[in-house]
Amino acid sequence: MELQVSSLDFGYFTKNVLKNISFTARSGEVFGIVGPNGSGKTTLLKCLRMALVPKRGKIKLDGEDITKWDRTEIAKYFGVVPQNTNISFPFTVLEIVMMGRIPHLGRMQSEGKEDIEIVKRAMKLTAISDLYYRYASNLSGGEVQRVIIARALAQQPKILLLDEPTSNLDINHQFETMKLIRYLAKKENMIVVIISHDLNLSMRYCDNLLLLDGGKVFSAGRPEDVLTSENIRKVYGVEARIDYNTAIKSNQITLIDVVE
Amino acid sequence: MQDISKYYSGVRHKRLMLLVGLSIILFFVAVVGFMVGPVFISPGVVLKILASQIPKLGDGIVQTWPNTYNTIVLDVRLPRVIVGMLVGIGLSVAGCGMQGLFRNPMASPYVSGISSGGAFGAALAVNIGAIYYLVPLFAFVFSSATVFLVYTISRVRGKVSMETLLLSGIAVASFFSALVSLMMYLSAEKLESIVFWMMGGFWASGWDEVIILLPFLVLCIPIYVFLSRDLNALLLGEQDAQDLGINVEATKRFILVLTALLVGACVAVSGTIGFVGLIIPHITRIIVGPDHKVLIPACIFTGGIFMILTDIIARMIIQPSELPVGIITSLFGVPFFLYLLRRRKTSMGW
Repeated sequence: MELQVSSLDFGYFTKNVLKNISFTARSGEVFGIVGPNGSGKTTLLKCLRMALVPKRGKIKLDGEDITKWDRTEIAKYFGVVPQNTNISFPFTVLEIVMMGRIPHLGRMQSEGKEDIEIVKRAMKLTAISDLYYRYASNLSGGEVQRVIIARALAQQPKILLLDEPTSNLDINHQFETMKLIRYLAKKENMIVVIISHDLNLSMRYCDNLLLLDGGKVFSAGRPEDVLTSENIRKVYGVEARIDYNTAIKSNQITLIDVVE
Repeated sequence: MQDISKYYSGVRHKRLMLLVGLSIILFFVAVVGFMVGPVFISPGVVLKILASQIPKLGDGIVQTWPNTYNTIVLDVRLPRVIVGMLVGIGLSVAGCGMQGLFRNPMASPYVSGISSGGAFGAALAVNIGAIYYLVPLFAFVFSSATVFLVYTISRVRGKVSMETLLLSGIAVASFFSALVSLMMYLSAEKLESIVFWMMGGFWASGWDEVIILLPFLVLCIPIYVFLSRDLNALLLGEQDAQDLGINVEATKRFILVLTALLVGACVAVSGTIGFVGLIIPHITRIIVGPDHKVLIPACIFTGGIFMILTDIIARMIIQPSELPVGIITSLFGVPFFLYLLRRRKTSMGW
């Protein structure tokens, strides 16, 4: 499957927040979006699933224009893990994850055996199987994050959109989450689009990167070509050193100081 | 670890049992409603009178009670209990929907100014010396119209912000309240009937009111059940709900139209009975949890139970006269409301 975005513009009023964005993300690939605060990452992720309607440009899934799709249709293809979900109501973990089945169920259809199996599997992948009867409102931030990932997986999406999924997590769960994301791309053949502020995680776990600056694509391509010390200096205004680290078999970024 | 499938069916079983339990309580409360009043009728006689109305089953029942009991139970207390039940159901389900939509514990079916609009309509009808049926008609038209007015005000480029809706609802409500006060001030001789109407009650309730209310409930309540998944998803936030495939703006419109119709009809029949739509959904949420799939059916029973009970109290407390039921619901409602304010942000989830 191929998610193709071409010459996308978006703006709230006359000023455009996103300008002429084009890229293609494919099944089996972890596609990272990086960029400074306010560069339009979250806005772009919202445009991809038509939560915000682009002013111009096309979003195509295997050549089919999704801008005409209704909400249910989109929810069958796109699973979303937003930046922060505030679960204040005493829903159990099982109830929250089961909500991922909403797009697949008829209005008066109740959840069947198959739905329970799908939900079980989603909870197993995100390592929350033991929490199923707990109130989501009583869980830690990291646990809630995984519950929301499980809910997105229960949608059985073809495309998984994640907005800073590791921001609330400790280092252990950051690794677990990134590994899960790679597993979903490689083994389940999903298109995974992930926004991250952690440049090292992006470098190591993404197959392709889109570096946004001021609503425009500053650079795109393989992580080692995008996250260069020159690009980091220009976009973030930070001096960085980049070395190949044999322990992780990836480039490692050491941030030195703000450029004077 | 318990198996998830077993746990899941266990939860369903428990919910079903809860609903069955509530329906039994509703039945008993209704029977009490048939028993008490100026004339006490024993439960056995009440059940026999009701059963004698059922074809075939009733044929074998020998009448051992005065004929007036038939009239009291069938023509006076039965319709009154039914109207009370229907209004209780309408207000609590509508309240449940509004609280889900607003994600706000303070939301009630009246937040959109619907009760003030209705009061204005009723006061207007009373003031122009309208015949009996025009009062409920005016009340219904104005209360429903208020919801659409508030909705239109808060709609910006196809989207409705719930905060704006809440604020403009309060503003419009104040405006109509002022108009009602003005009318009451200018026409002192009609003060009593307006005040009576505003306090809310079932003293005039007969089969006519049942016939007015029933179609609204039969039409609206199933749609709430239909929307229960949407309301659940909305409790996680509008963006999350949309990402789960919910058409959020359409759901808002649906809930508001349903509120306008359902609460408009209730207000027209019984005046503005306060607090039922606010506290009953809360009590029910404490019993059954936040899942609207069980919360809405449960609200049907708890709303009915609460309204019948308070009406019984209202007509018993100062015999041979009776109090407006709106006074009783608030006397019960206010302490509970204050208790809610104290325990907000704990297990309620608000």
